Amino acid sequence: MANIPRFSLFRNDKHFKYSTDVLRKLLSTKKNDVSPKDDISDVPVLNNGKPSKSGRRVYAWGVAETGALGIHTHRLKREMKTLAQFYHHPKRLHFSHLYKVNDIACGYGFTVYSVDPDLEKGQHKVFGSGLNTDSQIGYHAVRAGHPLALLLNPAPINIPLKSIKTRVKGLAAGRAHLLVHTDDGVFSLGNNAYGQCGRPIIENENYSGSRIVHKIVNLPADEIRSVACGQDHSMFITEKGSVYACGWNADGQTGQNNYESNWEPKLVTGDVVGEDIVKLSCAGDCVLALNRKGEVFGWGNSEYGQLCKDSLQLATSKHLLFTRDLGKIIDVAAGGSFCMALNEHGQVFVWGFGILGKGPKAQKSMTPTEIPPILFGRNEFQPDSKVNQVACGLHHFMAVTNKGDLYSWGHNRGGCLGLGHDKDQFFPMKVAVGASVAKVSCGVDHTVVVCSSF
Amino acid sequence: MAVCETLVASKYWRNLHGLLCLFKPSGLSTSILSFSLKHTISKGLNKMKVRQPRKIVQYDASYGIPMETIETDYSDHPLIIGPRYQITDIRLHLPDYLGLFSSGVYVLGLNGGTKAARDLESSKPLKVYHVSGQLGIATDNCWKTGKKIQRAPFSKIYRPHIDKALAAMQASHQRHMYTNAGVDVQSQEAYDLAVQGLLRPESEYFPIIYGMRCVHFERPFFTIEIACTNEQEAYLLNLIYTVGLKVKSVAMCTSIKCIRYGPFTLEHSLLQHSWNVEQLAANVELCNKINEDDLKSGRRDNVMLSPLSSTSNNGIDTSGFEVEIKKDTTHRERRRENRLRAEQLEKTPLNEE
Repeated sequence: MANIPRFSLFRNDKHFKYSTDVLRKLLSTKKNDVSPKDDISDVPVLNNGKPSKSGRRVYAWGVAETGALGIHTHRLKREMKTLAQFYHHPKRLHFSHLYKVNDIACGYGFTVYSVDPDLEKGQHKVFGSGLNTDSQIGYHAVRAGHPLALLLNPAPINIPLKSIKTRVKGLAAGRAHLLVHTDDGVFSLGNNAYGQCGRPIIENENYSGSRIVHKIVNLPADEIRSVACGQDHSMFITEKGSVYACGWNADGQTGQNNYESNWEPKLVTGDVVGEDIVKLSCAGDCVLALNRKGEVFGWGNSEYGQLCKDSLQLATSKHLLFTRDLGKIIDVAAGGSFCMALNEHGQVFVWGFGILGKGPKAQKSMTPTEIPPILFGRNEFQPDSKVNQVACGLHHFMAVTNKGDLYSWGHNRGGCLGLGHDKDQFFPMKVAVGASVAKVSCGVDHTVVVCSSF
Repeated sequence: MAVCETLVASKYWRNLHGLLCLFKPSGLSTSILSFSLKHTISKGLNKMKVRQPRKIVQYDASYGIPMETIETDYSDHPLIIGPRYQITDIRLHLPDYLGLFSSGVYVLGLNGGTKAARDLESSKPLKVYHVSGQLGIATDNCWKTGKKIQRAPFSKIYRPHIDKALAAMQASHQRHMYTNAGVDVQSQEAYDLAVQGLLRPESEYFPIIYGMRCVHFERPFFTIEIACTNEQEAYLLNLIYTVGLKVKSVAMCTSIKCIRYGPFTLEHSLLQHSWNVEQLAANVELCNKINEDDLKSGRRDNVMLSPLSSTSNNGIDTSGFEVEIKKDTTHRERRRENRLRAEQLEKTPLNEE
């Protein structure tokens, strides 16, 4: 035993020895049963692929009854005959794995996608699902004479494009009409009761089962840059930044300085004339426009004091002077009774009436008030997080940060906030989308986002 | 036994009451640590000048006149009853946030400080970890010594991939922060709290991550800094595996180091080679002072999370907000009130339409 070194368990103690069992184990030459395995050549290899930027995904949530989500899975097996009515949380669309989705637009109960065509299946570049009562997503019929008024899965929409190379530049959807902006021009589908499709109004026209896809010809000579839709009106921005509008004008939302609906796109009058408008936003009948310098213009309905305090309607566009103090505005969004603006520092301002995102008590604000950036995830651990995109539905708000996080608040009609429940949310809350959000589009009771994977 | 006559054991024993901040090495379990520490303290104290055995005064009346003699009481002699300071005399409170594999700042309560340690633990202090992982290999227990069960390619993974995955996970946890704060999310109170910063969870069991960022990336190795509370070692091990899956590979954990526990940081922690009575007593004194400062600041009872730096405020100016948190009631009392209010609301019958 004299050769056995004296083992010390504790550094400061020379007298405490290992027990004999431990010593025997330490000094024995017998190999341990569980030896660390250094050779890993026989370990199976798992190949998940590589993280890619192009992995586009589409998530949707809200009211599923209308088919706007493009999901028609059954909630439970025992309820095989009943379809899910709501999805309160983001649901990934299988459709986005079949086609690469470039753009989305949400109307009132329907959704439209512009995709890269799969040439084996056809040359369709625009797909749509949801309510089709006014043929706003094209003519679809299983049997002749029985047009489908509701589509549960995204179905191709026939747009008469000149060639396969024609690009779809943008989409816009209103209550029951659709605008498709392509290299060939702007096409319109759906309801034309107020001239929102840019063609003469026909009395008692039957829109159900209509096969009309109208190419709007009365547009100005220079190219169209983008299109936007309100509830029942359509707006066009030209390359020079001037705004044309047609459709319903009961609140002056086409900005014609009168209250009569027009089917022919006409230049919006007032302060926007001569300005380089880059963005239009409208969910109902109040329109916000943003020019390149970061100034905000508005026209249409103002009964909640969104645009001006003295009158309930603005029939001609007006520079909103109270937004001058907010810094350079980079994004705007107009909801049904409220407006939202985002400046270059990522500060979000809201004004109007409704759930504004400043707690249950703040129901009305006539001047723009900032939502604290800490609610959008800017805290001491993530100081560089800021909002870079905003969107509005009729009654709810959405904001996307530079980290790709989506925040939502407002009325939770049909679970359109995606928070996992149907209670109203009074301040911005993160939506658990499992990807980085690139674009968000809000319908009246549903929301669709285009995401890229991590 | 060599006795150091210049040091008085009782003086050191008086100082060994309070919090103790150690640097726990990886692979040392808390039970071994506890035994090691008790052993070190008792041995160290016994080497010092300890109390002499009691004296007994005896009266011998055999000479007619009572004779007073003073003798040593052998029932109090170390040779009879053992060393003056026994292992069983020392009490420890060991929090369970560091497991066998973890290392780093370990704050425990010694003797009279066990209650303070328990209070600190139940206040859910913010903990900051540096957790390292290795991409490409998965083991059965997510730790590097486990049985290797899976391999995956990792050559296409870059730092932005990890950053993105971490940012998304953190943002999702912010949501849990509001839902677990013990207030109704639909109430005005929830908004007033939310605008002021990071909230403490009500439950003790739900881990919440406040901040995550990648501090080091050298493929296949990466290190992430995690600020969290209510976590356990298994949660952090699992988190590394999840990060690996999110970047379309697999990962195993190579090191877990706690660099902050509430107000205590690595600076205050005592390395294993310094675990002797003199330095332990000095450390207890330092930790007690930090603990007192922390108690005085009132951060612990607040629903808001304590700031990262123990000296400065949490960096967010709260003076501009209209509603201030009431200072007279503690967080726990307010949460109790809210719970009672919620129960009452549930009991009230709904108006049937």
